[in-house]
Amino acid sequence: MKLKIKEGSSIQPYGGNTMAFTSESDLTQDVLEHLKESYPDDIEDLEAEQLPIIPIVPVEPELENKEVKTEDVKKLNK
Amino acid sequence: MPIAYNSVDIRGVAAEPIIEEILFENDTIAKSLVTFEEDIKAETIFTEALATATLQAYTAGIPTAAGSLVAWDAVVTPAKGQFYQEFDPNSLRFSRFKRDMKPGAWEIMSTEFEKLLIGGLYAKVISLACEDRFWNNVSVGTKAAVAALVAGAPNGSVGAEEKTLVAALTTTASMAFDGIIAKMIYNASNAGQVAGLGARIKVTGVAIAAANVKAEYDKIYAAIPAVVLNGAEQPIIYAPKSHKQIIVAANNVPSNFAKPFDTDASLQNIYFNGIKVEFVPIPEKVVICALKSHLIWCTDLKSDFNKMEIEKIALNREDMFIKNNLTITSHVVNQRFNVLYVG
Repeated sequence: MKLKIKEGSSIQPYGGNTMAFTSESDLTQDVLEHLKESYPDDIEDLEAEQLPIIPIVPVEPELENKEVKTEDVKKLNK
Repeated sequence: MPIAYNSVDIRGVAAEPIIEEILFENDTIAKSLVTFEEDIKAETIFTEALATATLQAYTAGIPTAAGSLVAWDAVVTPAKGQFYQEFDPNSLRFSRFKRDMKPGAWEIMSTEFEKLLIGGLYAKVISLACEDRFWNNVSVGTKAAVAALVAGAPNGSVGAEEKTLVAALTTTASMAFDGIIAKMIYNASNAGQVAGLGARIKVTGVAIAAANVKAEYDKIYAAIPAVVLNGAEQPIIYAPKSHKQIIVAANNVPSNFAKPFDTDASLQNIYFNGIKVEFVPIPEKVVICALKSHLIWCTDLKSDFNKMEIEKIALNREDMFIKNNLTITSHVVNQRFNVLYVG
């Protein structure tokens, strides 16, 4: 798990006389874990498990809607 | 930075009061909420001691040493700082402030300007800034040291909440001192004089609202050592300014069979289980419970915070400066009897 404050987010957990944390803040992971409990929408996990991407294979144009003839099938069966 | 005064040339009458922004009082000084140690130029020693006495059977022969007596020194040197501004009093010549200038082209200072704006509003803002730093300042070194500690649940480990809090505290450029909160979490005021985690009693908190303020203050009360509660000097609960409204709202819940906080009619005195609650400029989700004698404001002279010097910048110049010099740091003693609640 590698947590980080999201770009554009600003978290000020202790009010006006303290610092606001942003994506530029140099924070340790345990601090970010603590912040994530209260501000889950502002913290992202850079190593979160990604869903597998299934590549979309384009259909070759010459195979598309090609009429299959009896001779072709016979050739393939030989 | 120069003083900005967008004046109107005065031709008629000016309303007497100058409307200042509304500011909190510096109650830490005004009500002496902590202990002040003055006349500290540099390297003043605070000595602490603890002892255990062990009763043992009488022997006519050689007795065995038992028990302990440990004493240690902490050396405290306040950081020196200043507030400084420049202004041209000639710009006051056309304004309401001309009314109390003495006759003569050399006379360009206004008593009203000095008393109300500089001695009044500006001095008050300086005093508040010092109060804020006394509680909330952190040095760059302490910030880095706390960030390097490994967070854990036991009292002997820094809390993740405490690490987050120290990361959120602000530093003051070139003024390396720790305010009370940072000092409670990390210091070298221990028998070994080695910088490390403070011996405070850690209470893990949450965001406090009217619905849970009693439950959270119960946690703080439960953590106070019995010896403190039964002592001659009563502890103080130091709470953020916003808790006053939260406490009043909690007291106003009609279904509560008893009000969780005792107050007088003016709400100037608020107590929780007999302990006075005082409101100071500490961060939200932070509450301290300690004896007043355990939290020390170290300075050269307390009245420095209100002393302002106004002079010409140079003998051949007419523009002026306003300067305030001060020294400040905090010190915490008897650390293992002080409760620090952080959410």
